[in-house]
Amino acid sequence: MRPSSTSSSSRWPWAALLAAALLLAADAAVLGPWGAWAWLAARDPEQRALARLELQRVRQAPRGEPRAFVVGTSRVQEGFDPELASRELPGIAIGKLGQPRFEPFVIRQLADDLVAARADAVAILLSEFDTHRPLRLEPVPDPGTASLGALADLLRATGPAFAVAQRTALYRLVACSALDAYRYRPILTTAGLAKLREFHFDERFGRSERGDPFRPIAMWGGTRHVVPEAARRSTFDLFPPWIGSFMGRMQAGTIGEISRGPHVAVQEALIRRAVEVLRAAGVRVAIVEGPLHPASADLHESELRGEFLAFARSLQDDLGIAFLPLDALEPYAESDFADLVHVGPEGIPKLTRSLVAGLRAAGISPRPGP
Amino acid sequence: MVFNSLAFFVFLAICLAVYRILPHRAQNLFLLAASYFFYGAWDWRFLGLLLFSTVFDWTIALQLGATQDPRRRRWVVGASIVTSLSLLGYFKYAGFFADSLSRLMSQVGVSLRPFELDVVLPVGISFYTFQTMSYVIDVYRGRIAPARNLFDFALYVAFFPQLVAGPIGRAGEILPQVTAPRTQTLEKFWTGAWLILWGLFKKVVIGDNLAWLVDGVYSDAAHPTGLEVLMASWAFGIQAYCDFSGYSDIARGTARLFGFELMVNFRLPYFTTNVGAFWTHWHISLSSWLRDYVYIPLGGNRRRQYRNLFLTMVLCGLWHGAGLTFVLFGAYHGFVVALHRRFAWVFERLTPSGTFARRAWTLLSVAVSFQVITLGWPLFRASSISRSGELFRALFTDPTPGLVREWCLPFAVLCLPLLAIQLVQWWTDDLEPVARFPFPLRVVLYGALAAGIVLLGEDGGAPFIYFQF
Repeated sequence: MRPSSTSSSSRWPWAALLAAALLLAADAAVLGPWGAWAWLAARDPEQRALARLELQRVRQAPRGEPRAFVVGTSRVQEGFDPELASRELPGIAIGKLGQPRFEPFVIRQLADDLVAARADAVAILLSEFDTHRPLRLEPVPDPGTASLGALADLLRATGPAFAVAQRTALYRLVACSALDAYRYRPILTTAGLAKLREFHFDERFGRSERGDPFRPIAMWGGTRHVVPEAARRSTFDLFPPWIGSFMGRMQAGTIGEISRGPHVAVQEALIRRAVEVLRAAGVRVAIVEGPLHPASADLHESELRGEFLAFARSLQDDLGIAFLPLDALEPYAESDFADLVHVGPEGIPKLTRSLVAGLRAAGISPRPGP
Repeated sequence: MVFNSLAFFVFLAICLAVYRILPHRAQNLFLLAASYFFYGAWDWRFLGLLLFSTVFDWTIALQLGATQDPRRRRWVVGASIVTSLSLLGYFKYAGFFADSLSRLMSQVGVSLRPFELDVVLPVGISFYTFQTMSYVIDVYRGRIAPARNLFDFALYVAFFPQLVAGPIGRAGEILPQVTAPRTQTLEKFWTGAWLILWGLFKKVVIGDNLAWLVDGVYSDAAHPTGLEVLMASWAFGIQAYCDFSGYSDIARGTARLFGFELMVNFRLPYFTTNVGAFWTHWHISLSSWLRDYVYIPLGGNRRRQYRNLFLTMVLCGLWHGAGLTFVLFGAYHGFVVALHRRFAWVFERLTPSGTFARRAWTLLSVAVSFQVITLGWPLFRASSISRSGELFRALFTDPTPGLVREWCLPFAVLCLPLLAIQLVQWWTDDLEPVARFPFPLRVVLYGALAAGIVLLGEDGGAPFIYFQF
């Protein structure tokens, strides 16, 4: 049996290699942590790199000023008021990393960025809403914080069958982790590239813009000023008409996803790993239990809260973090909620104070001004 | 798994890594297994059809090799052709013919619903069926010897770079590359990588972005002006070219990484000076197949050549899809090609003799030819004949510009890189001229193409147009 011959005597493609090196250098120079991406991202009307901008903002705090972050899903986005927190904790640079789908996998991704941003303390808002809901990777969750380390942890927690089933999202996450130009492509497009490739239509064509559901950073950017929006939401009559509305049904479905299953071990492993990464870098961590509207108890097994509490306490014991369950926080009334999941105007101060309490429990204390 | 997906490149990297460490026979078996995996990733159920075609035609060819009796040989080759065409006919055309029959009968007042067909078209069936048919016919004609090894033949049929959308390989070219040890050099590797890069750029940057313009204007709900239809038809011509030639380039480049050389499928078709020449430069593997196995057996240039040209082009249209629009597209091209052939002497006499005048004439011929081809696209791209009629009506009756001015910038930005590279290819008469470029220019070109793919390319893995055929 003869092998096919292989020759290595031919010329190397130096031009291609140089082009690749220049591209990577340009990618790092323009879009890396010290590049022009922040300038572009700040001008993105859809604010698709909000988390990275917030990380950078806090990172630039004056030397000696402690840096603290509050992390969570839309519950933090809509329920945490940074101004109030700053009044409660003067002299502390506080970053708010709250966006829809900042679930355990994104929290694990963020852990690397939080370490890079030299965070002193992190308060994470969690509950069974986070640990007991299935992991979703489509659309790709926050590619702006994608990291290969988080991907490795995800695959370790899930196994090869998951990798095969979710391969498309995983490829995109790998590409986002490796190449900032891909990670920030929509921002670059917004910054002017769109004009070079997009064709606009008018009403004669039955559509005006291109829709593109496959963009890596598509749906879940922080596009809203959260506190005023939550205030507006209070105009809704909550129940029962709310449940009948589209958003209500969607939320009810989301609450209904809270369940037992193999996903729980994965979500818990990701949270544990995120905390490990933070603790290994000397970051103090507090987990604050997030409240849900009492009516949500009818939509899922309420005893799952016990499982979440047991998990959080195990983190407290194993990794030396602070944990504040609801029982240790100000009580929430029905009127504090804007809907099933998010707090409304009356609940915002309470949730903010809860998260500030978490930061205090992690060892952050106010610093008197000069 | 499509060429323009990250999944494909992961698959390719794994295949190359394994391939390099295997001896020749094991390489073939590995490539065969990888090809079946590649095809099964679409829909594993159709692997059975592919396997049946492979084993059936391999057996038929052995039968042909084993007998010299002309009568028996005719029967055997006939059985193969009927079987292949029956499979193709059922999966691709049964619904179309049943529907057409039903409509025809309803015209004469007979309500006929013979049967409802909901047949899924297996990806690549038009390509690999033509490939196995050409093999059997070539064995019958004594041009090649039948393959003795089933796995070698199976790899010829299923080799994944060409399996789902060609080029439609000929056994005489590919089987020797399967059976003999292949040479891999760094130069081959990098020229293959260049083909992949350029093909990918054409597909995801030029083709997929122009698709937005084309889809918008050709949508059934749209009411475009004539100039908008004209620009969208130009765009579709370029989109179809970039989509399919991009696929072919990626296929050739991928094959070259494994040491195979596939046939060139496109030779600057829009730089040709008449529609007949266009079809010898566009989808060459199909047009040469039709020439060798349809046009020449019909009589070729020897007798009734205009009828032969017309019928061949109608068949070419029908190959592209089961629909009256495709038949009319083929008929239009058949008519134009036959007309040009009939009056070729006039064009020859009109051709000026001076160098400058001849060049100007060539340029004019290219422009006119492009426009004549463009006029056929509404038949090909529109969803129905009535819709193409609406578009033609707009084209010839409504000269208002509409949004054309706004579309000029992205249209030019997307088309200029193609034009620039093709002018160089045409000027140097070399389809792969990049190696000759000065070093700095190559650096800029590689970098620009890669950056273009990342920043401007469509990301969703939009399927290739020719997959539906």
